[in-house]
Amino acid sequence: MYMPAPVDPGNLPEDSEGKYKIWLRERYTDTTTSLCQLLTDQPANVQELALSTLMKFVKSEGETPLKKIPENHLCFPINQFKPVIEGLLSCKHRLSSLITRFQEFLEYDDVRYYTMKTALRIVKEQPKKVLADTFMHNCLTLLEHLSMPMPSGDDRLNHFLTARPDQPHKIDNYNEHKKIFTTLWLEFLKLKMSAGLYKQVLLGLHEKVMPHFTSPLLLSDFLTESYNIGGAISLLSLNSLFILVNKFNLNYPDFYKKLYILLEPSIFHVKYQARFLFLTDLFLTSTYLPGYLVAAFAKKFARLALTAPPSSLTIIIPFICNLIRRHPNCKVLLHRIDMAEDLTEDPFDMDECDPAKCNALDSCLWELQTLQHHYHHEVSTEARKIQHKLLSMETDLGPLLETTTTTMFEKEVQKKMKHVATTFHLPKGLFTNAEDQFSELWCLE
Amino acid sequence: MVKTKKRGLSDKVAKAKSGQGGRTNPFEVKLNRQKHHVLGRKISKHDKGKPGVSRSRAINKRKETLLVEYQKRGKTNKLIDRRIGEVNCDLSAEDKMLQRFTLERKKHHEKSDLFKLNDDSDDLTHYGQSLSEIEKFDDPQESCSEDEETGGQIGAQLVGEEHFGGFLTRKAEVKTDGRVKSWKERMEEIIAQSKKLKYERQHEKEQTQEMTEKLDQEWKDVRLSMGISKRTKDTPEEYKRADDYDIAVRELQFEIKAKATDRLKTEEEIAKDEMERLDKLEADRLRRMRGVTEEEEDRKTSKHQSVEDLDDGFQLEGDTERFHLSYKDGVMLSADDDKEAESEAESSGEDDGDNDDEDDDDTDGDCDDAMERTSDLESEDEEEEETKEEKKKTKKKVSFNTTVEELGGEKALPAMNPEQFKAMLLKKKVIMEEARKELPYTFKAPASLGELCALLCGHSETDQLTIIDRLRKCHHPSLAEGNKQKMEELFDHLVHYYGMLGLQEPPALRLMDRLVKPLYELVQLSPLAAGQSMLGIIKSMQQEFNAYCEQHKGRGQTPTLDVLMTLKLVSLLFPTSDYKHPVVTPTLLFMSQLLTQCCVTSLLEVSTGLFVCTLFLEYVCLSKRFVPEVINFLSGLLFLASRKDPKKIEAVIAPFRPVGKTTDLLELSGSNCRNVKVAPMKLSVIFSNKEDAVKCLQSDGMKVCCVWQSLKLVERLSDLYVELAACAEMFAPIRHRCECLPVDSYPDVVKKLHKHVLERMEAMRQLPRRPLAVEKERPQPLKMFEPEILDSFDGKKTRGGTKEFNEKQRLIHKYKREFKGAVREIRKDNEFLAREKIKEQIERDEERKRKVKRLYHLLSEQEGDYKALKRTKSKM
Repeated sequence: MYMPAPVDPGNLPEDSEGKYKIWLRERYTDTTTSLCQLLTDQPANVQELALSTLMKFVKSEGETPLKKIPENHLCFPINQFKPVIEGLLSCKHRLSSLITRFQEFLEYDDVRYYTMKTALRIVKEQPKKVLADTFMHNCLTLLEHLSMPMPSGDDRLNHFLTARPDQPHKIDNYNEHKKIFTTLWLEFLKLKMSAGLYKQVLLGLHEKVMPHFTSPLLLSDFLTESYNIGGAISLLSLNSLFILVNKFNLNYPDFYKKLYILLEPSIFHVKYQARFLFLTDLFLTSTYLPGYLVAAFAKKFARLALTAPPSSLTIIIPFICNLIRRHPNCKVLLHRIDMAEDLTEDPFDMDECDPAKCNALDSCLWELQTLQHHYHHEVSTEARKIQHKLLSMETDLGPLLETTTTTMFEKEVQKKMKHVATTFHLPKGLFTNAEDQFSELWCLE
Repeated sequence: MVKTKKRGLSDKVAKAKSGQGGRTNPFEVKLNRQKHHVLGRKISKHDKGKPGVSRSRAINKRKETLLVEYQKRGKTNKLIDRRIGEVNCDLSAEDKMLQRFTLERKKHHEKSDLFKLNDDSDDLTHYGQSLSEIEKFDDPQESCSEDEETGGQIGAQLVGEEHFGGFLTRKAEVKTDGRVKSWKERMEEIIAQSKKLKYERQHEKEQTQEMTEKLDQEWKDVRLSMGISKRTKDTPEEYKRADDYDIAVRELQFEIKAKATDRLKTEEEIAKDEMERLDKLEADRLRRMRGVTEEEEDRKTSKHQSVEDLDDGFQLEGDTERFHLSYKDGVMLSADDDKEAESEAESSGEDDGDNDDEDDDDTDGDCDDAMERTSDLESEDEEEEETKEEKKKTKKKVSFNTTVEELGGEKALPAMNPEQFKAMLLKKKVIMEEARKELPYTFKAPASLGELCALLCGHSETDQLTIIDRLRKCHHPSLAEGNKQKMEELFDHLVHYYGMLGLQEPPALRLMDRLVKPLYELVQLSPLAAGQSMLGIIKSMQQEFNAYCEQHKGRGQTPTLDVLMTLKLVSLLFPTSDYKHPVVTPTLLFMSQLLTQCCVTSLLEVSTGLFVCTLFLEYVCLSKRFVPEVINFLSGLLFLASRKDPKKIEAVIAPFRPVGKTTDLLELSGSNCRNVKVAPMKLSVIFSNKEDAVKCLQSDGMKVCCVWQSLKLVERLSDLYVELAACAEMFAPIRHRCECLPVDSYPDVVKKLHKHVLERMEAMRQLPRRPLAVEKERPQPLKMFEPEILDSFDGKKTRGGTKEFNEKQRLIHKYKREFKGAVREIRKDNEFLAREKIKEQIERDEERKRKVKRLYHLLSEQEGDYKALKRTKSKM
């Protein structure tokens, strides 16, 4: 219903046909403006219709330009396209679903290119201090949906909504795309973000964004900063940071020290526990790490294990055992002959931030000994392994990482019951039995 | 004849073989001596080997196979088609076939007829009878014995005449026609003769047997008559001979050695007795409900009065106790009740209602009961008729009573004995009341929770327990087939019912308390099923909890009283100290979830948390297991109670938060709480929706109680965990919180407790530590060859491991052996081939050498000839 009027480019004659054409052009402009308004603040289906219609306009205008285009110029109607992106990056409404819909157009290289260009301009124009959270959300959603093509042998990109330029141009150069992508992300990361958004950014950074950067090292400032924030944000930035250190030779001083500081009781109670433990395991894989460092990590983990739920304990104990297996000089933690007899206090300093100074190597893993008395049999069995010489094979942590209390519960419930022991003292009542802990504290009234 | 020959031959061969075996050179035998002789083990067949023999055998075999193959390696063979007519294309298919067929027949004929003895008949005979007939083995023994006797041998005379040497002494027999008999004729004669002899012998034998049988028959008759006479003759003498000694012996023989005592009753019998008792009581109750006293019943049943026996003045008794059968709300009402029915219904409304329920249940469900009752009614009808008849008779006799009777029984009797009658009526009434209130004695097992609820609802606590008790006794597993399952179902329903009681407002805690005992007994009856149903309940609770968590971003639902009480019940029914327990272990995990995932935002949540902590404590108090969640939770509670430094963010563990609205949840609002009396928390108050209860829950007193309880739990935990190695570290956060606790505003009891707890913590820090040490590995002991002693030996060794595992091991072992064998064979083949090759090479070399030598020889000869010629020439 909104098909664009066939308008001839060039000079418009003064006759009635010319007037009609002018009138037609005006109506067309009106339509696009109102469609752009429809993009926001409407039910989702209307928004989607408006978007697809606008994109159709863009396409047909690209094919039959309104104005005469000089040779070797691109026929992409930028003026027509700009308001679409502006509408998508609304400051008032969250348009995540619409942007997801827009993703199908982002497959086209020219659309993507101009989207990035326009978005970059918009982001740059934003006032730095006061930023609507909705804008940031929309922006992030759009950025995350930029599906950059995987670099192939052919340098020229060839998937276009409008006609492809005959001669090499910026728009079909993958490197140009990369460049603008990098700048756009860097500009975006400079903006102030809420904690939730920050986490969302960090979650996808290493997989979706870093591979398309001209140089991922450009992210190191941002990542270092987020690593220093502490808490969950630090945990999440670890992943990307590790890629930088590992693949791009980022020299990161005190990496392990900071990692050590991250170890808090709360790590066992956050959502990203599995991810964090996986990464920590990865960082500590190297057998070239100094013994004191590994010992500090092992001891700290053991200490934290005293507050951990059983699901975490089933991971932590094999984790510590793996550390000791890798570093034979840490075996003193489990087997010590030269300790003073009259020792009452643990030499390990829990509050010390520097792993070099926490005296972990002088200590023993009494915590694991304590966990041998854990109420859950799996934990207890796992902890009992330290009584004997550790087997040389490392335990594979992979299948353990996703353990939760619910999965453990289900595992227990699924076991086939063969025999059920019962108590043999006839209970006198609920709270009035021998060995009862309730009688003094609770009353049945 | 043939047989014996064969036997001899085979014997000979065997002997020869064994002789050969014995003759082996002792230097060629290799003995694999066993190091240890184990009793019962079969001596393996590899204990002795003949390497020389087997090697030569192997070489020979290779020569036949491998060598042939090797020698033929360069050769290409030609296939020669020798089929008839295949090459000749002139022949038609039919001719071809015909030719082949004739050839085939010819071949077959020639071969098969070669050794054929008798041409005329195909089937084989034995003694003139066809073998197929003989094979029925009618009388196998006979022929057998015959064979044994004669052995089919020829007479001595014949041997003497015909065999060796006989030729010399033989007289030429002359035939009737004067011609000398040919050899063939003679042989035929001999054969005929021997056959005849055999027939005769057989005949004789048959006759003998017949006679024997006849004799046997006769003997039987004779013996019968003889035996009887003998017996009658012998017995009196024996009796006479019995003397004192014999008597004494007999006495001793028949003396009772142990007297039978009353057998102890088995469980089934006890249950049966119990059931019978209950049945009896039920019958009694039904009777009393009808308002019949025992004496009357007795009299009724035993009564068989004669028509004339009317003089004791109670002749109309039967009539007086008759009531019009009428029902109201399903309750059978008696005539004299009718008047008071309404008032009664009002006064004892509840009880009536109860009775209604019971009766409904009984009539609806219990067929047996219904049957009983109808039969009772029938008998009553009969009785009615009887009494009517009586009445008629009395009418005739005692005419003055008739009017009274027609007026109605009640008014009629006072004339006889008013006081007595009134008393009786009263008595009856009381009994009926009691009967109405009383519970039925048998119940149908409830098939669903709803049925159980219907059965129990409306009764007082004691009655409910009695009902459950009776249900259990009625359906004791030893009484009927399906009862065990019924009891298992009952357990399941009862636990659900127990949970439901906790949800009531106010919770029926007393009843729950008393329900524990029957539940316990049901568990004892079938632990496995009880465990399964208990686990099912825990599982459904956990799933509900999980679903809630997923909806609320991982925040759990505060447990309700039924959950808590069910968890408590688990600790009473199942041993919580087990290392692994199918019910308790999942329950512990669920409790851990309750402690870590439920937010603490109100005092209700604090107190449920404390309840779960107490539960944990009870679960582990015997096993002294370590529960980090409880420590975390208590530490969090003390954090809520302590004064906080607003600038410092404290490290607290989920579900508590370092900042937020509810961080001062347990801080006392008023300063004057020193006089608050700490007391055990009342469950009904905590879980009540009433306003005053809610208010009470928010009071400072409650907060003090919570803190007191937390401290108390900490004290107990510290007692429990003092032996653990890392106890000081474990309690460090709690110690820190305790130090921050504003104790001064708390009552003295709490203060004292607080001080005590702190002291304990301090003492814990002073405990000596022992360094960890890995257990020394014990040296592997040398294998001892002591007999393994099994408790029960069933003839074969049993291996550990599952069936699949053993099968796999067996296959692996077999594969290895086969593989090794194959490798060895290949190696030997290669060695053999190499040997053959080198042999060939040597032969070839020698051949060449010989040829070269010959050539040299030839050449030198030539040269010599040539030189000689030259010399002669030069000489010349």
